[in-house]
Amino acid sequence: MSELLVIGSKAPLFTAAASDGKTYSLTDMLKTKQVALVFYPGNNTPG
Amino acid sequence: MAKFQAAGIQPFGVNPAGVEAHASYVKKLRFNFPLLSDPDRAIARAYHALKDDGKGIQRSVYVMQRDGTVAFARRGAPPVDEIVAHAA
Repeated sequence: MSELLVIGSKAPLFTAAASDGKTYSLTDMLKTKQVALVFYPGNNTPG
Repeated sequence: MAKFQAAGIQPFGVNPAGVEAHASYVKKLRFNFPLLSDPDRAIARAYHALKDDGKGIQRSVYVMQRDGTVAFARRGAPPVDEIVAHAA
């Protein structure tokens, strides 16, 4: 198991499609807000 | 969600499922924040949220502040209050 990213380190940039039909890039999102990412196992699995 | 908004945080779920699966999941659970599709697990990999098998996702939560740095990182599903407490 790898360690979590270190506090204060640069967050990896990404662009991804979302459930609301939009495409989000981290760079654009950070222009207006802080961003929380919640990683979780497959939908409907207890994981 | 209100707590996130009050703290100036936009939350996203991240999962390898496709956008369509996400949309139905959001509807079912009445999530009111978007889920990002990460089909090749590139985001999970970049954020060290992959299990050792390279496929499974480890529950992990991050908050990035507006300068693009990591402000909060935790395994599991920490309470919202704990997450927003680390907002800038």
